[in-house]
Amino acid sequence: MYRLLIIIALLYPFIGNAQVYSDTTSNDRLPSYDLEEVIVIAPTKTVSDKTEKPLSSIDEYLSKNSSINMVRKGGYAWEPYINGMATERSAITIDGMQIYSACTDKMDPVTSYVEIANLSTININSGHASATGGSTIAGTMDLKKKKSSFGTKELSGTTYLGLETNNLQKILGTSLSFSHPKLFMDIDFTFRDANNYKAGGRKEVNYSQFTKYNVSSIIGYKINKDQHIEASLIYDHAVDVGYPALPMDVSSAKAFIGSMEHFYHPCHGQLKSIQSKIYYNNITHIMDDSKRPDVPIRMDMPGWSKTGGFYTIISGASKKNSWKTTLSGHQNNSLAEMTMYSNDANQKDMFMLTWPDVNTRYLDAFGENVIQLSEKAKLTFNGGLAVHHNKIISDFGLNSIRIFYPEVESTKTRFLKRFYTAFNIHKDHQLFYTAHLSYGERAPSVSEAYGFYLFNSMDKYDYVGNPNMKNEKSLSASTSIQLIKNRYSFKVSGSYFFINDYIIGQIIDNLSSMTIGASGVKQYEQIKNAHIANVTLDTKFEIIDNLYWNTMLSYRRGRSNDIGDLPLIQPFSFYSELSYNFKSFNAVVSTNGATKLSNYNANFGETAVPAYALINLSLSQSFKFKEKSLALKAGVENLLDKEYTTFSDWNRIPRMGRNFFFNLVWRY
Amino acid sequence: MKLNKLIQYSFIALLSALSFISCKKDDIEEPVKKNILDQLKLVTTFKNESDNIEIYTKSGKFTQGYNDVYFQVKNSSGEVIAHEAQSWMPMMKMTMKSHSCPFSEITKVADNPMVSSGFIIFNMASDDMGSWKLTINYTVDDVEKVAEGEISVQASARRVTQGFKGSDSIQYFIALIEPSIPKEGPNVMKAGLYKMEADHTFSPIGNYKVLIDPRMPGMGNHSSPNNEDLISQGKGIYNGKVNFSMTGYWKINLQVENESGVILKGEAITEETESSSIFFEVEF
Repeated sequence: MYRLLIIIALLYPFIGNAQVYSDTTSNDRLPSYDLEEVIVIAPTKTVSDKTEKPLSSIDEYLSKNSSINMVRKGGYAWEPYINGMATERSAITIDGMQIYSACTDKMDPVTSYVEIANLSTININSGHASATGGSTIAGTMDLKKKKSSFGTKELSGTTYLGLETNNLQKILGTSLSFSHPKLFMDIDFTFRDANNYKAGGRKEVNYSQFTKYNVSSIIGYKINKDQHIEASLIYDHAVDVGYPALPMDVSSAKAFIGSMEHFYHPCHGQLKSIQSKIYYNNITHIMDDSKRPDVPIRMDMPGWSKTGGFYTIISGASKKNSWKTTLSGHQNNSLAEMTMYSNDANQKDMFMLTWPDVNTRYLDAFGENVIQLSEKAKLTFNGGLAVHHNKIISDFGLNSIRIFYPEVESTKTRFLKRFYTAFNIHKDHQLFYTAHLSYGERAPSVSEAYGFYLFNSMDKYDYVGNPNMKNEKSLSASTSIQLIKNRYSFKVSGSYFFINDYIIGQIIDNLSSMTIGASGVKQYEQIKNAHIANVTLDTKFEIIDNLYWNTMLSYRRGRSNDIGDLPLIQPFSFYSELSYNFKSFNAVVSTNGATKLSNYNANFGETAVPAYALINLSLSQSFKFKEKSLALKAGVENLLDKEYTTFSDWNRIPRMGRNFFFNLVWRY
Repeated sequence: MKLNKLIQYSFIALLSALSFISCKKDDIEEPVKKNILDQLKLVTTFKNESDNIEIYTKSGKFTQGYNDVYFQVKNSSGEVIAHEAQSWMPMMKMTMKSHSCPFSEITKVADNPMVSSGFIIFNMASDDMGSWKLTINYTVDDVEKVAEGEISVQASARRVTQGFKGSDSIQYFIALIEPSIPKEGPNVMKAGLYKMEADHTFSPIGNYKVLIDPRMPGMGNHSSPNNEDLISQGKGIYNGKVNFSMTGYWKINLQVENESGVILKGEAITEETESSSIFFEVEF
């Protein structure tokens, strides 16, 4: 059996996968032994101030990862595409908690409800390797909250100050951590406030302002030597957020994300740990156009999403075997409405449900086994089965859907299966080889199944959901080879996704669009299949002592025989930096850019994008005073103030021009 | 450990229970049939020498357009007595002339034989120019009786009736019957189509077709999909389906087509033609 799996894994080399981006410094040469990628943000309390811009937004952080593209509709809340696929095809969780965005226009991805200062790591799994992410197509992203640990009694704190000149973004943050043998506690607060940013050539991009408040806290209590509990809460509130690429803005996006978790970790026997969590989150998203001077009709589009869930992860290990089994479940309610204020005082305002008050219940069982074949090789296989159930609660909403689907039932149940197998081998801890093969399914999202006249401002069509679609299925393979030597390292990786019953909007002829100015109506339908391939090359050289040259090249291709090029797929892109580290001083010169976008799809509102290249500089110095430290960072992005846009900019809004930033981190 | 397991299992149990509840079909109970009059409101009482005739509608008033009308007969001591309705005649008296309006025959209400019902489609409201009079002929124990009185017909806020001259030079009258309570989504649509005779009475038209195109003038004049044109059901009644994709003010544009497929009145909606010359209005 194992041999068979190895053969399968070996049959798929060089076609595909997950890349590595590690935010740790060049000195860190830990190989990414597994396919799972980990972006370390603030690993521990030990200062990792060598990151270029510690107070950058999470969006900027993620966009530097080669397996992620951030689709941008303004200065805030970019949508993460994993392996070239939109958020419907991935699961983004916070500490394993499922959260459903509350905006029908995807203006509030899950990543917009956390702050970089809340997080310790971001785990990105390509394919279907994740235990709590559930069934997906593209992969999963788990945002891990930062937390202290039990230990000697200690109180420490950090204060952050940041300023960015381009949009006058002010960043203010503070965090306090308390450790004790039986207790730990972290609380942090971050505030960001930005004006409109200016594109290259000092051109102001209107409606790109934002303000964000984030409070996050976590408390741990040790019950005895084998058990502890944790309670966690995130409150995030963004106000007055502009979306220059869209016809509407957001006056308020608010999230409460809370959880209680119990850990049992016996220090003996085969059972390693049992982790059980219950959680609840509540998102209120208010979209309106009150700041826009010229609209054909005034609209409010609020949306609400509430999710409660749980998971239990039991893991254990014997000499050659480690295993994990997970039971997880959640229930979400998604509701979104649209009120159009009549221009004629004699006529009533108009109202519709754009998400018809839909409950999604999801129950998932998952098991994983990792076999250590030898000291050098290991084999992982896992699988999961989930029940997915939708129910339309509102009669009003159900009647709306019945305009298009007169026979549709209010409920729908689906079964989602996933399998994953991976093979890892290394030689002398220098040459690493990994390969994986996986299969996964997903249910259509609330918008895809039940969305009602959701306007897409890029292709200018109103989208109508389709409750009768089958599951979307994906078969994916990936592989990577990595060579790590003393003064250089080299990694090439690739992945390939073959997606069946690919869900995408297709024009329905002769239908009248609801949105004024829209070109028509598209309905979500399934095309037979689509292919997505990703390739990344990552190199690191230590040219002379303390001088490093890192380069990352990546390319994606997405195609379908039915519709041609898939929309929003990254062209060839590069990032290259020279960095000099000496003691606590660090200087970086970097360049990033992309070739011109020629594989685009005009039917989805895409246009060609010219090639571009940018130059960035940064300097940092940290000072230590006994237990305290001060880190100062300054830099300039887009030094030449180039006016440019990328494949991932919605409606081709220009990106930020020259921007100086100053970050100050004071730890005490 | 024990507590942990307990929490874990109770959650599993809870979620499975929730899942099962949701899968169970909701039992919809048929509402218990009550006396029809309990759902109606008294509009007026006609008196003659022996009886009081109580007239009811759903809203407690008569409105321009389609009205379901119910009545019962009470004797002088206030007891409901059996009657046989013969005929009725609504008549608008104006200074120069009089005219009637479309109305149905009178039938007995199925679950209450003491109550008679039918419909009247008032083609105009009572105003300074004229007033409506309703005459009801009925028998009690084979004795013919007449009750009559002046009634007040209130103007409809939105257009629910439409008179027009067809390209065949005939004077037609069309009235909206359903949806009387419009709702989001698909609605059964019903209309009455009549021809106005020389003597100002109305006779039902069969075998025509009424094409519909609902539009929202306040929202870019967009339409809704999958509407069904109205097909003749006999006796001047036409049935179809109208879809409302949102609440608000809708204009249902009409085209009347005769049995040989000729449009007698009304225009198709295009970018240039935002409204047909004949239409109904619905607002909710």
